Amino acid sequence: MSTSGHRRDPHLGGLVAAVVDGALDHVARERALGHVARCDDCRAEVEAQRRIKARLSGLGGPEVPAGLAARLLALPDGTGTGNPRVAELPQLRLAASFRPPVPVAPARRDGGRRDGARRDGARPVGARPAGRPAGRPARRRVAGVAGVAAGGLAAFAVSLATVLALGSPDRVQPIVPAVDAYTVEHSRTAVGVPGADVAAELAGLTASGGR
Amino acid sequence: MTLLDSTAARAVLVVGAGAVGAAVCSAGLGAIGGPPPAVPVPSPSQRVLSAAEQDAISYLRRAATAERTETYSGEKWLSSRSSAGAVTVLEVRHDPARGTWVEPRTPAHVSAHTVPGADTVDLDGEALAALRHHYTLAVRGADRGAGRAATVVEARALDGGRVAGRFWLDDETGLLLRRELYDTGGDIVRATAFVRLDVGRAAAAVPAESRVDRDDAPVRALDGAALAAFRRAGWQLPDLLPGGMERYRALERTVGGHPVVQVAYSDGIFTVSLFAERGRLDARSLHGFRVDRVAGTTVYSRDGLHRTLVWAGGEAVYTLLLDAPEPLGPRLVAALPHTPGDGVLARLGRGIARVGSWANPFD
Repeated sequence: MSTSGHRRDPHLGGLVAAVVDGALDHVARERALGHVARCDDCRAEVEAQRRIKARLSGLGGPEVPAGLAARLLALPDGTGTGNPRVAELPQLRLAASFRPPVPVAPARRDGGRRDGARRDGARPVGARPAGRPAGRPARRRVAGVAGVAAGGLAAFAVSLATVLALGSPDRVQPIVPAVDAYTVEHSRTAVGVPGADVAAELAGLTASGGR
Repeated sequence: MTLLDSTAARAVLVVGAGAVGAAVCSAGLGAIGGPPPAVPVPSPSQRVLSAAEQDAISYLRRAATAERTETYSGEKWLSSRSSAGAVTVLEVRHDPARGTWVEPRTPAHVSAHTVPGADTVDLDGEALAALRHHYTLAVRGADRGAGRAATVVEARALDGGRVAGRFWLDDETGLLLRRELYDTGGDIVRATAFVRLDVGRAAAAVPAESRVDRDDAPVRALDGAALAAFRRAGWQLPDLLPGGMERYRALERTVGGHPVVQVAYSDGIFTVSLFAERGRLDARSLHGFRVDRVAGTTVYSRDGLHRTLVWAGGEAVYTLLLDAPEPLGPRLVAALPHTPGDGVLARLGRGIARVGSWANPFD
């Protein structure tokens, strides 16, 4: 017989999820479980949510490509200080299903040695060698200057190519001198010169002498 | 410094380096592509004309005025001494109201033209000044031309006294009947003479139409200030050219939708007109021209009674018409821009100017 009509003990409602997750304190849990034992509806609801949780828990995580962890660890930390947190990435377990194929030991925090050098001679990726404290930053500065210079040259080359394209002769207006018209104008202008002969100037006109 | 700041700083450095490079390049181009050095022409000396010269000039002034007052027709013989050589016989009809009609009888391939009359009624003051700078004038006496009584005026070079020109002027009308121009060796380089002249009979015979495509856009006379404005805009329009050629007139007109500047030069007897226009020379459309190399550049030449030279210099195309001794042509080309604007530097200059015009809100 269903007990869904039990009026002195209302249904669990939103507490079902808390019962399934075990999130209730002791007293509440006892009361809830007592109700579940008497109420078919709430018992069915609790069982249904437990099945769903079990099914979700049984699903596997996404497959991680082989060697991904090693490649991530090989990346420089970009600070030049040998940040050990990079080496600790596997311990942080950024993803619950992350399974690095290559075990990586955590970096040691030994005596405040910020360079991260290890007693066995190995050092974490990105750490500066103990005997060469300033070499790597100097190289980085040189690389930075070279990068800026290369970028400047590239920008200049692009500007040069653009300006050359804009200055192409094809963009300049083609001119066909109106030679006959100019001959006429020359003759008219020359009238003001002492001893000018207009007819002699016009004799330079030809039938094919230009526009 | 944060990553963002570092990236921004690098971007600024990169763009700055490019801009600095472009600026340096522009400055270099400005220095390289600047105007050619001025032609070293000595400043002409001013001198006071004698009474005899004033008398001679009055004959020449009357001849210029006669072209605006006399109607005539006739036959004229013209010759030019040059490497190509040219002798032409023209039939001429002149009406001050309708212009001058010329029809060459020889050579046969030349067609007839009617051109409007000149807009001046007197000798050009600047051309007269050039004449004073280089020549002395004198009336040499009476002679005859085309069967008419004439007075001969002679021009001699101030430097050496050689004869530079002789002019036969009609006593009745003042018209120029005959003209002979000489080079520095004493040889005649230009000669024109009426072999027949009928005064007052050609008014109805001058055809009104002209074959020549003459732009009807108004012509603007350019004074010194206007010429200076053109020069500031990059036009190479010198006041003086080799051979004692002095600017006596400058005009601007529109041909084919773009401005053309004409600068007329003279030493007082010989004349040269320079036509400058911005653009790229389309030499394929030049017919009847031969290709020469002058001052290391390609010049298109046409010889006849006077010589025509066309070439590209910088960002402009120049057309030079010479009624002057032939050797003067190469000297004038060499004195004007004659490096065509198709090199890398020219392209750079054009491109930078184009980019600069984008930044100019008034361009």
